[in-house]
Amino acid sequence: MEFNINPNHQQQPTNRLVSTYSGDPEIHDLVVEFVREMPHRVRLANEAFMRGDRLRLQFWAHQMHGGAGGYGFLEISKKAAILENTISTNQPLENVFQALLVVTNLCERASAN
Amino acid sequence: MSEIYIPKILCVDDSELIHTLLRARLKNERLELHSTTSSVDGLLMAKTIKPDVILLDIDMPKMDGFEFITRLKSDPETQEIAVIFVSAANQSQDRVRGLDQGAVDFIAKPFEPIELKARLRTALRLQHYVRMLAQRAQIDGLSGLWNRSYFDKRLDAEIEGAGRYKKALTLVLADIDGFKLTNDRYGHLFGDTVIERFSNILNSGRASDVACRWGGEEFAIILRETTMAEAFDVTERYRIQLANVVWKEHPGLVITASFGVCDVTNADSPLTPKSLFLCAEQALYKAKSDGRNRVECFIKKPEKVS
Repeated sequence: MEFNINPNHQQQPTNRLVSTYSGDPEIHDLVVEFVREMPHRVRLANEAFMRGDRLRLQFWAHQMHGGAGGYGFLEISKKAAILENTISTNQPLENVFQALLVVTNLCERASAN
Repeated sequence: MSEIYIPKILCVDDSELIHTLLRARLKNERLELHSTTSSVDGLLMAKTIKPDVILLDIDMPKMDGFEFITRLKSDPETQEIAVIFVSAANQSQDRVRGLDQGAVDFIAKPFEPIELKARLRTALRLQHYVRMLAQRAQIDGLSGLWNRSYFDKRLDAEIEGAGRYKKALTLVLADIDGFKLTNDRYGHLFGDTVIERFSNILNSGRASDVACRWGGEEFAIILRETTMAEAFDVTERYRIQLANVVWKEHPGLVITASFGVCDVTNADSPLTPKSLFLCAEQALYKAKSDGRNRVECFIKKPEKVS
């Protein structure tokens, strides 16, 4: 089975996923920074998957699961939890791939405003 | 003037994203925030920083939050630190396990900032009350000085510290002269007044001095980083202050105390809390037998050279 991922692919954000903390002055700058670094994060996740580095990918998913919600992206957090679970329960690669696509798609839509 | 206490918080979480978020969320709170992404380092920091509250993740590499709290609570130096689990592992069995292991609260990730601050404030308030109660249990009700139970523990710790860091340490024992007679002649209420007044004098020294009511009319003062010569001067001032007190209930009455002083270099070997105490006690007996109202120091006899 082939998994077609271009680590450098950047999807055009058609349907923005706006942070629920977009109007929160306390962490506005942090949210902007979080979103700015998203393409880099997505690239790291895709690269880990292509290398078959399940541990690295699981750590990535764990970080997004615990962190994204705090920056106003609860949906990313929830889907990252699913990805983390597919890896920690040794599910087939196809399941991991599908879960990764869902998370990275959401990450690419993330917007601070 | 008392210093304003700034609570210390230690966050142990393997995600740098969480640390960044917490620093932003808590920046306007009156607290000192420390953080680490390593649970192993977190245990060491708990010992050195002595935080009031630890915000602890569960799912971490090398040592997870459950193992962390087990180790924390089994160490007498860190077992009083309050722990709040902050975790995305949000199953009820995780919450129950965390609370059973001694955590005071559980906050689910992602946390609502208002809820995080409120729960943190509650934990800090609880911690303050626990410490206050523990402290009250070690304070003598009449004199306001530390009680004997505290003195015993503190003397142990101070002697160990003085030995380890080669620091001076002196113990002073004090006994109010003719106190039974004072009680019999002027009544126990006046006797209490004498105890209170003398305690105030003993408590007026340096902040680092540890003044305790050892029992009845007997007192003990641990003078940290103080040589016997320096301790003699301090004790002389206490002696003179008490002798000069004008008792408005009984003008003309003079109340005095006798003092025995010994430091760690003069106490009998091997140095133990008991040996230091017994040497200071011998000096106190000498002060009493030599006429009271005096300070006597215990000087080690020079060893015979054969």
